[in-house]
Amino acid sequence: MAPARDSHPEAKDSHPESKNSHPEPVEGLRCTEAGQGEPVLLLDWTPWESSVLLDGLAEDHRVISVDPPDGPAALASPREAAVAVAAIAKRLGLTSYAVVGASLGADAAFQLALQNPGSVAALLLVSPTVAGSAGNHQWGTPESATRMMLAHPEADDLEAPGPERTAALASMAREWAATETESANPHPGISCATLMVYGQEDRLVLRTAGHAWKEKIPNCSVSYVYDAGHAIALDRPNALLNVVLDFITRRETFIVESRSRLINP
Amino acid sequence: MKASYLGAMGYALRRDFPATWPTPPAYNDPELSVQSYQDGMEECEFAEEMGFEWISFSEHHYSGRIATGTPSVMAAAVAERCKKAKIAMLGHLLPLNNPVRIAEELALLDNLTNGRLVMGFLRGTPNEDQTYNVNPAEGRGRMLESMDLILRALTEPHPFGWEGRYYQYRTISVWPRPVQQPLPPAIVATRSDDAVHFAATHQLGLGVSFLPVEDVGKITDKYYRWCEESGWTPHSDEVVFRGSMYLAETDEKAWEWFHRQEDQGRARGMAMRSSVAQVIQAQRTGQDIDYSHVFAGNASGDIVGSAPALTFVGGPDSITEQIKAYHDRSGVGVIDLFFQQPSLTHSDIMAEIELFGREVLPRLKEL
Repeated sequence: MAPARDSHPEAKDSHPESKNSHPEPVEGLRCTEAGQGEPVLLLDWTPWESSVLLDGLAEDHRVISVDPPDGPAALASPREAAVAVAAIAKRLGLTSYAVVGASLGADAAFQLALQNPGSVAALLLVSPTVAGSAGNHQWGTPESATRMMLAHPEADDLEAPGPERTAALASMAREWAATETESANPHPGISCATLMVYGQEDRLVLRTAGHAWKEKIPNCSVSYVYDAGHAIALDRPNALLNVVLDFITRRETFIVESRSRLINP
Repeated sequence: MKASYLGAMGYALRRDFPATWPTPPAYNDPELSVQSYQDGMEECEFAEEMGFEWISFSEHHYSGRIATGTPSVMAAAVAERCKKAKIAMLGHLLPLNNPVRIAEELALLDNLTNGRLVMGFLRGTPNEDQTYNVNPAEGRGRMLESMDLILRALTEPHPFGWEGRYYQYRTISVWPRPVQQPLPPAIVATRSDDAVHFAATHQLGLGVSFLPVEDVGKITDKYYRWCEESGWTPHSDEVVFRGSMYLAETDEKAWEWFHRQEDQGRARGMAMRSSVAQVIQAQRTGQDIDYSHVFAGNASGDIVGSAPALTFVGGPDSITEQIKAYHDRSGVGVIDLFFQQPSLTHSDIMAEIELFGREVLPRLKEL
């Protein structure tokens, strides 16, 4: 019997009315705000428009979710993307914030932390490809993205992503790949709490990607999500949300067990 | 072809055990228990001397028949006596254990043996789900996840975390690293398609136990096909079959012994209450179970079912042919043999090892 895939958390769409889409793009990028609390910039740039991270984080945080650009020409590199996101943060009056990036959004988030070390208080990169990329960018269609990015045994019943967003992101990925070498050098300057999360079956990165990061940022943590591919939020949403929320809340101390194992008092 | 001696470390008076599981600790006399382990280790040493190239250990609980609930401890002790043979853990019961602890034990054993470790991953027999309170319905999933986690834990050069379905760790950093890089040889002991497929796609070996030749063949056929699809060919050492055996000087003597065991009810294996066995099987296969008919101490008593006959029985020529059949049909390269039949004494087994090493093993090595 195949194991049941994580059901999406009940938190999903629990506060849809509290989401606030900015009517006009900011710095050319569309943003959605939700929740109250410490600010979190969310760059969830996978082909699927998943609300798992936004809804989960918005339970206890002010989340500013920045959509990926519509076309490949909009942002030529992760550096350029980081400049645009930093401008959004400044426009919103944010001086210190956590950043959560997924896939290409993780590459941009990494650059954002490099460029703004005084502002990024915590950095969480989900499926980053900037270090340890397998060089596989053949996922420009919904079908190929589904095949390349999902790994859960029951992934067959998931809807394919939208073709326009998939094509735009795939094109951007190819363009950004050319800039990877300059981004992949050691980065001792990143001193904020940092976590990399990979799907155990991620086909877009090398198996050694996690240790590549550990060698670049010695204080970072690396975690693997079992039975997940590149799009972890689709394969194992609850598992991803669990580690993301724990890290955003407790930063580097998230490694210390805090749940009671007491069976009967 | 190579031979492996299963270091079962059976309790000397196992012939007196009831045919039930678990075996009550009341049957254990500590003084005799100490001697039994000494005898078992002597058998391992002698097996190595007679040409066995592997000494294997298997995790089994709550019984003096295979008395190695903590097989790594036993393997470490024997590894100090047997300095040439591979030390084969065939294997740890993954669903029952902390996979990080297993990775640590395996890595340490590979260091203690200076690279003679063979790893083995096993789900366990149905009764053993009870040992550490594992839900039988989750055993398969736990085993598959554990294998992935152990392989990563043994190869990852930096600390990492794991967000699994059954296991969650925020800091894993196994020390020491295995001597054999990138990994010691690993055998997945299974009959199930999903685990066979895992072995094939991860370039791991396959172990099958206690099945007739043709049934093993059906499993290995799938394994070889999936290995080919994954772009590799297993080495002969990566296909292992475990069988139980009684070898005598002639076929007549061997079968005479076997029929005597049958007459005395000793050919039967351990059993559980039928109701417990039904529930475990139902949970393992995802079936519903009607508990309304489950009563403690049902009329069938504790002793139910019957064990399969021994895999190999006969004189040297017959045993050689029986083992050869597995080699020829399934490409089995390592035969892992259980010698410690309940009625046999230590001296019986030493004699059997000597006979096997003298009359059978040289012919197997030519295969």
